[in-house]
Amino acid sequence: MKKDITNAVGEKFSIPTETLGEIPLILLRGKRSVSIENHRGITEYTDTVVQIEVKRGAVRVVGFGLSIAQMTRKCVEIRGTIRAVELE
Amino acid sequence: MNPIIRFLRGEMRVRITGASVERCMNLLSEEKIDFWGICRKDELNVELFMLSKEKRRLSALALRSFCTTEILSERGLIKYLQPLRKRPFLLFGTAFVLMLSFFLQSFVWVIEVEGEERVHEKVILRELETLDIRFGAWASSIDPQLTKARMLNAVPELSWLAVNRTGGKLTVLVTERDVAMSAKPPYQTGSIIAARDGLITDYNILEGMRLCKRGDAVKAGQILVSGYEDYGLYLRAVCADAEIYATTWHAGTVAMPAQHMEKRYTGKEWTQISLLLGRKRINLCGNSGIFTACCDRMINVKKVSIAGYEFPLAIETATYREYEEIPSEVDAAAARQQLSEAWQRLLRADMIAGRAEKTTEHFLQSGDLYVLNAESTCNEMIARLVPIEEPYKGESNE
Repeated sequence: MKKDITNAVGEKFSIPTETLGEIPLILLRGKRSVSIENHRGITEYTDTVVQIEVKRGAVRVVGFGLSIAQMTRKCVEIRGTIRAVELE
Repeated sequence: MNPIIRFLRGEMRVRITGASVERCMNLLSEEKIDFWGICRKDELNVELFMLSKEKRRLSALALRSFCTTEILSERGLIKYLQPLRKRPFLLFGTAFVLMLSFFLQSFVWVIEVEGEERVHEKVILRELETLDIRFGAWASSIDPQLTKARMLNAVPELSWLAVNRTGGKLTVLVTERDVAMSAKPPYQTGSIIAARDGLITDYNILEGMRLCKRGDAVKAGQILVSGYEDYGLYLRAVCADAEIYATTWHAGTVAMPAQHMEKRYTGKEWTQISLLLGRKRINLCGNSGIFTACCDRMINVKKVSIAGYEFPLAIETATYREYEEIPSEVDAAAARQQLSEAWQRLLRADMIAGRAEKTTEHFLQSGDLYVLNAESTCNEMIARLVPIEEPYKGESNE
């Protein structure tokens, strides 16, 4: 219900739905850095895998030398050598 | 977060140890606690940076996620200022001194004059005071250009002036006018006359027509060099210029009392010490009243200076010695000597240039006076320039 109202409002007023706090926004900068907005926390954090829980799934970042550069309520930034970004 | 902001707010490096450090990190982010520089050490340990103020909340949140925390290091301005919280007077004193040093520079405490040679420093300082530039004046109110214009107008001997301020010290740089000898004669036409009676011994005529010669006896006011030069067909009016020496005679009497009041110290002394702050005097010890007794006053002023820089602060020590005046007889020989010297001074003051060649003195005591009658023969310069009021313009041919 809430999802439908949010999508309808976004479509009606041409507002990007990620700004309404629903859909995760993944920003990949080359192979060195990835930012994920609208997350729900870290579920796994190792040197080679960082898994971030998002609404209706998770984002899995695979690589090596991974580290979390910054983490706030809304956004988490991962740096390192990124091999793959998987959506689950 | 800006590194400078982090330093000012204070940051700490924390190690979180536990089975689920990710859960602890999620809790921190949910509670809107910023952290950065996350480094996974091993499966159980994570090190990160956060603000020092979040210390208490970190402990509680770590406990909720079954983790432990350890503060590894702290840095920032807060860390350095924290010990000063127990020393408030040091903190306030430091702030007060900084404010005072900034505030005091807004006033003038020392005025120095440089470059003066003939004009006395006191003259310049006195004129500056009329422009409200003195000890304790508000420095920002001093306009250098306006000061220069007014000072050059008030002191004509100056040709240039500049005012420079460094903190509380005001430096006044001056340049004086060059006094050039005027080559112009003082009058358009003039004659040389004798200043007194005498016998001409030598002369040196530069301009004008000579009317005397060596050996002539002349009277006071007699024209010695005429301002009219006679060329036969015409007369030329000039300003005569000459040096004429003659033997002259001076006679006079000088006298002095045979008795005078002699100072005799009673042995009573007292000292007064004052503190001079700028122009203000503060008596530290000693009587500051007006002394009715006769006393000599000796003043010793010691100025406070560091590395050649004089402060407007001085200690003045005034020593008073009481004396009484007792009449006593003047020694005759000493009196004669004094009278003879006085007569020589009078002679020299009466002459423009010259010397006394022979002096005859007659010393006597007349009642309560010592009297010296003197006659001197001198060789002096007797030429004096007088203007010709209405120059002769020649006769008309009509």
